[in-house]
Amino acid sequence: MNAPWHSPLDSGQLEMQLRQWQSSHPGQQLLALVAESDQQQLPLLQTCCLHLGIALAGGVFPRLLDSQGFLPGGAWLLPHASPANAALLGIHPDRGAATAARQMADQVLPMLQQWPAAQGKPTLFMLFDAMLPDIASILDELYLLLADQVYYGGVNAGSESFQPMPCLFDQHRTIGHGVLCLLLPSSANPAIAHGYAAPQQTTCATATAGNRIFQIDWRPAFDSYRQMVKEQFGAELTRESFYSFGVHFPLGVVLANQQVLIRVPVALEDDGSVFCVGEVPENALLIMLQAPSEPGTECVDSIVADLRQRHGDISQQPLLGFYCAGRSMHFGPAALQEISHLQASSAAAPLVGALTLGEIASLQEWGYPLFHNASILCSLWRSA
Amino acid sequence: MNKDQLLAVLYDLSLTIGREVTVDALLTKVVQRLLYHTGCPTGLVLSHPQGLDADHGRLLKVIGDHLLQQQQGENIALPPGLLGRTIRSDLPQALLQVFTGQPRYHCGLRLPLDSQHTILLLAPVPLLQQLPLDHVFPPVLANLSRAIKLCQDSEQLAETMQRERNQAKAALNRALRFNQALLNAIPIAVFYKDASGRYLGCNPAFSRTVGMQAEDIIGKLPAEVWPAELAAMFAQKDSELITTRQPQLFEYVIRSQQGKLMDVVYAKDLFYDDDNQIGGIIGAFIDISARKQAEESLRQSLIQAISALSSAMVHRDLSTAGHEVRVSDLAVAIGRQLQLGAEQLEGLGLAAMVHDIGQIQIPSEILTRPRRLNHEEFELVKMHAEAGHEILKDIHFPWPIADIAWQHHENMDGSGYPRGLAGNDILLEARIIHVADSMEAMLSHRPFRRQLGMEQAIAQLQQHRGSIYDPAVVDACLSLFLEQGYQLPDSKRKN
Repeated sequence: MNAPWHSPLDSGQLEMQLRQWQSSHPGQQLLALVAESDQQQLPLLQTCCLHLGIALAGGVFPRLLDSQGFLPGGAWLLPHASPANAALLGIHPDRGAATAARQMADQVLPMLQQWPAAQGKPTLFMLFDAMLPDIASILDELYLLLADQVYYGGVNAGSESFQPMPCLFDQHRTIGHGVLCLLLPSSANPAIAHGYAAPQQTTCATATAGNRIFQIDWRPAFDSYRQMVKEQFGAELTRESFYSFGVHFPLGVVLANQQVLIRVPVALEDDGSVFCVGEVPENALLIMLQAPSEPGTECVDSIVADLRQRHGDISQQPLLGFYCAGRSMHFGPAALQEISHLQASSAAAPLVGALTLGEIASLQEWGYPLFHNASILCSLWRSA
Repeated sequence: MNKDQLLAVLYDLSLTIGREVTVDALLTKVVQRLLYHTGCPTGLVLSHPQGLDADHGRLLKVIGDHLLQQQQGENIALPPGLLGRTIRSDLPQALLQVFTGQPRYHCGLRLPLDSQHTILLLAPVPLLQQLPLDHVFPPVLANLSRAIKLCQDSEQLAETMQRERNQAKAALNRALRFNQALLNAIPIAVFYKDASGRYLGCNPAFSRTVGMQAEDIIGKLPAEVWPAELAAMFAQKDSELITTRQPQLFEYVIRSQQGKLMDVVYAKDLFYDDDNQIGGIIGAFIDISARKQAEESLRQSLIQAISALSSAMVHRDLSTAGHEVRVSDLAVAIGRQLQLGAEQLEGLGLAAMVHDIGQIQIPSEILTRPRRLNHEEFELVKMHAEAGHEILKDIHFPWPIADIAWQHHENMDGSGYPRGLAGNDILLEARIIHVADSMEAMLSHRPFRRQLGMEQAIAQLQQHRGSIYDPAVVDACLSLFLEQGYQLPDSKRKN
């Protein structure tokens, strides 16, 4: 048993399962994706790992998924043989992105020293607490420090309700407002896509601060947003219905290379400013996107094609897939079709993953790490 | 990408350029934004001061390529064709491989800023096929070129200013060290306070003198350091100093931490800050206890010497025994009536004790002769004033005792002796002693006559008020006798 496996985190069996796995794979570590509904079982998992001397790291996610769709709870346990333990570190909210990136680089650089050259360039896989408001800026700063020494990938952990909670852990502790850095094989370098079409009409975020948009086109952000929704899609938006609309009408940051980074509005302030998941650069070109009513196949096909281009035949291999919670909210039950299509198209065995609150990947196989929303992020999972 | 979208990207880049003030930050942010917008993994800035034909240049900034980052700041070879005047998005892979030493870059975008700077964006695949590069980038690049120059100028200016600041700081440190050494070296106690009176520091002499270390007083008010009376006096003096802005010099008695009483001379003045506002108070004091004791000892010696001289006079002429004491008493009383200071009164009293010391050179039989003196005898007696001056002039007194003795028979109208001085040319003390001497003489028996009565004596004074005697002195004397009931010492016994 060295493929990822799902554990119901049953107190009667967990330690025995871990003991059996450890005896056949001594020295390996575990990445755990824990369902928010079973987060109370996390201490049990940590205690077992601590007891058995297993290096554990992971995050709590709104829901877990497999090839059949969403799982009711439990945890995905993903074995890996990274030569370096994961680094779990808190990020001080007032010290800025550059400091956070420096802290991360200080942890990752020694891990890189331990990375066997024969395994090629590793992937820096990061689990952030979704409550961090400046993840994109941290990635900007981190790229200055680490450059192309790693591939970049990652997701945001946390609660689907966007309430703060300790969501990152190792075998010793569980923290919020931090990041977990894992060094994984290059196969963990993720492919990403959202498949949302960009309309021609654009606006400009004229006043922003981090992930808060104060003005769009020189007007209070909510007023402009409401008008755009009405003009482009005929929908009447109120303060009360704002949150449920956000996932259907996300904003997009347009790049010069025609790529669109999605920013889902998630909160509204009394002054009409809007909080998004992920930062919006000041004066960024914004577009109002209407998420497609049906998932279609384009997004999944694009990801699978990217993975095949990088790795050749990917069938019958464990596939780590993360599906944005906002995307799931938008598509509702139809999200399952997309997950099924991912399973069918990739022929993954197994497909393991979770709903996420933000995704991190480069747009190409290697390059600048960008923070995304409403996307699907996939990578192969090879334990060694 | 439509026109609006293009404008927004240009706007974003322009804002990025305008925000930075150092070359490194400017290049970092600009290359970051270019990578963000283009999706290229690697961006670098080349400096080639020899122009676009240069075969070597310096890697000013590298983002996204760890190997090239190792060469940042170094001179590297620039293969022909890499630089050029035009924007070019199809730099060939072979050229990029020669330049970077890596085969993975298939596409290169060249963005010349000016003849000396070029940005290169490198990617494994073509990324900006649809972007009208020739239209998008030239204005931004021209702007960036100017911004680099501005930043360079700004950095140069900042460097110069920093250098000047460092020099000023070094000079200041030197001055501070010198001042500190000076403070440490001088044996005078020095302290300094802020404008609110809190101690800022003191020198070792201060600590030695009062037994308090700097850390015992720094940050404290006088009330927290000194006894209440002393603290109140210091606070009042400080307040006066701040109000008047005039340096102060005063003597006071303080008590050290060990309880030792000390006579000290204080000097205080203000110091000012850069805005010419009062920065605080600097003060110094010297322990003059030893000097004071020496002065007191000298004073006592003088008094003893004068007493001895006076006693000698008594032994020469028993008929006038006690004359000097009584004249001295009356003279001091008159001086007090005229509101003379304590110092002057002391000199006056001592002068009165020896005013007739010159009589020591006059044959005693003349002095004691029981009849009126003839002209020649009187001329001899008149010499005693000058003789007194001769005796006393070489003794160093803090008062003009010799002159007083010389002048005590001078009259206001110039009719006196020995020099015929008049009015204010006669020392006040001499004028007072003149009156006191006459009054005492008139109220005492002499060998050649009985004492005059008080009424006659007063009449004499009044008669010669202004001609022989100083009117103010006469008035003071009369006030003493007529209004205040003054009596000469031992006058009862003598009478």
